[in-house]
Amino acid sequence: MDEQPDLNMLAEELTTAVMENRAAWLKGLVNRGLGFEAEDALTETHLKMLEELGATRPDDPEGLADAVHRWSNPKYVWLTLYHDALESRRKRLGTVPKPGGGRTHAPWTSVDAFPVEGRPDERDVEMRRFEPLTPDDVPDYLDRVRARTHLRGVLMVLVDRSLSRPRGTFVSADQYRSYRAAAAAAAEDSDAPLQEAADLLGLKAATVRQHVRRLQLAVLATRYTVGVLGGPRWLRSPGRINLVLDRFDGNLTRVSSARLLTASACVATNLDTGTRVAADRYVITTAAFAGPEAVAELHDEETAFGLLIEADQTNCVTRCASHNPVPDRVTEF
Amino acid sequence: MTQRPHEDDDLGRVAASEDLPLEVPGLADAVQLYPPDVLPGLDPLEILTASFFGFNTLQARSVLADPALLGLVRKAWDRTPPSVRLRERAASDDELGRLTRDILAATGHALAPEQMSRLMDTLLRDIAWVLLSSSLQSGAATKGARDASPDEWIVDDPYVATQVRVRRVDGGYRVTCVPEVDRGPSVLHLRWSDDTVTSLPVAIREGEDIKVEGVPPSPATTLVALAFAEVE
Repeated sequence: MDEQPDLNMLAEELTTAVMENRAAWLKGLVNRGLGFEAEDALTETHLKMLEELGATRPDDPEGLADAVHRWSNPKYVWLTLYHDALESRRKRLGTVPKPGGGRTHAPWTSVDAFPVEGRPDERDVEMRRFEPLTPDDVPDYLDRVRARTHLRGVLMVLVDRSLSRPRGTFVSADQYRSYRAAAAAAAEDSDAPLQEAADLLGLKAATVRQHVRRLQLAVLATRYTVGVLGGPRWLRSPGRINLVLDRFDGNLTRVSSARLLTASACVATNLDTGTRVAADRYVITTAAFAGPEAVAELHDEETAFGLLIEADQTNCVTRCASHNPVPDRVTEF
Repeated sequence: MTQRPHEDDDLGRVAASEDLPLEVPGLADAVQLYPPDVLPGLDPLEILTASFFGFNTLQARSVLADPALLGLVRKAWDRTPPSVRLRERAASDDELGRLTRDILAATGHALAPEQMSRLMDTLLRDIAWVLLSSSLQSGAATKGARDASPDEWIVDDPYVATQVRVRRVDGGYRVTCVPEVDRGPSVLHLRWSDDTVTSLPVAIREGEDIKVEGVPPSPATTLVALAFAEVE
């Protein structure tokens, strides 16, 4: 059978890469007097990337590899964006008389605010970190954005679920806004990020805290039930995530649900043992007097849930042979 | 979206446990990919990507409600017409299919009913051929993935609107998936390396697991491709 990459996943990864660098790029355009054209240029550049990916043929893997190599290179994207902004400026300025008759768009030199020698990013301090990637660097670069892409995908599903699920595992718009505001405050070294977020949103700090913890637990529960107890690549499929979460929300007793939710906060990734509940952490968290019994109970719970969702690679807490054909399987994040 | 009381459900109760550590590595960085007022899925860059590969319900509703997002989608489709994958999504009977049709109509890219019918006939025929010639190796999207398996493949199948897993098992092949559309009684064609085809009846209902096992005509024969199709 032929091997083909998942174009949708590649497009999502490259989208994440653009989102990561967007602020620096837009600032770079503003610094060059191209702020008016910046947003349109970003749309234009992103469309070019999507069109190129969409135009690749299954029988041309080299063409796809070349496209991914270029579009995953921040410097290439920045140069494309910069020239798209200049082109947009030229068109906006209209036409000028052409020697010998007729009219033409303004020459490049008339719209380039900083016609420096060499590459157009030489004067932008924030652009200097965008060193060209070699072909060998591309996989590592994609690995770095891949985890964020999967987190982004899970958040999209959880927010989308809030439209149709009155209870259970979802993320409401209010919860998301609270978490986003608190994360931004924490990133700026705030001493009281919850309070800052509460002040910004007009909420009580206790409400923001509740929103933040609920969102975090929803993401952890998704990673655990879908990725750890489910199977490889399940976290990449919105349909699969919804199916597993619907069964988690609708088919468990209160005790089972609480046990698995608590366990989801005890998951850890180790390259030797993969991603699964760390038994010692689980015992400490649950303050269990009889550790081995508590772990055995959790293992029974995981086994039952694995059967419920028809998983064939449950990364169970005991790492038993029957559940773990790949004993070091790691999840997407 | 309305705010609902939910502190009294299982998730709310466990999240309220003060001593339970809930940090998610990388999550704070991931949400800061978004501008402050933009929900995950509704970033203009994500909407552009979805205009090529398909919307979720939140995205579709938001595009229909927001002229700026609708303008973005129109711009994308005016340059590159909606993909086959998107047309197929629009042809389904569920809510997302209806919303996708509404977006196609609102951007001037809807097909007339008879065109749609012809398109679907052609698509259904072509889908079978595409799948018969291009199954996907599991782990190909993440080459070198630790969980890649030489005995497992993933097929992104538009007929069931989800990924289909094919696994080599003792003496045959197991095909599993969870359809994201309702197709009703259908058939799964398995094409073998000796060019024979095995057809198995399947019921395709949204959210209901499908698990089918096919046995090759001889031990030396391998599965070449598969395709779901309507019952003829």
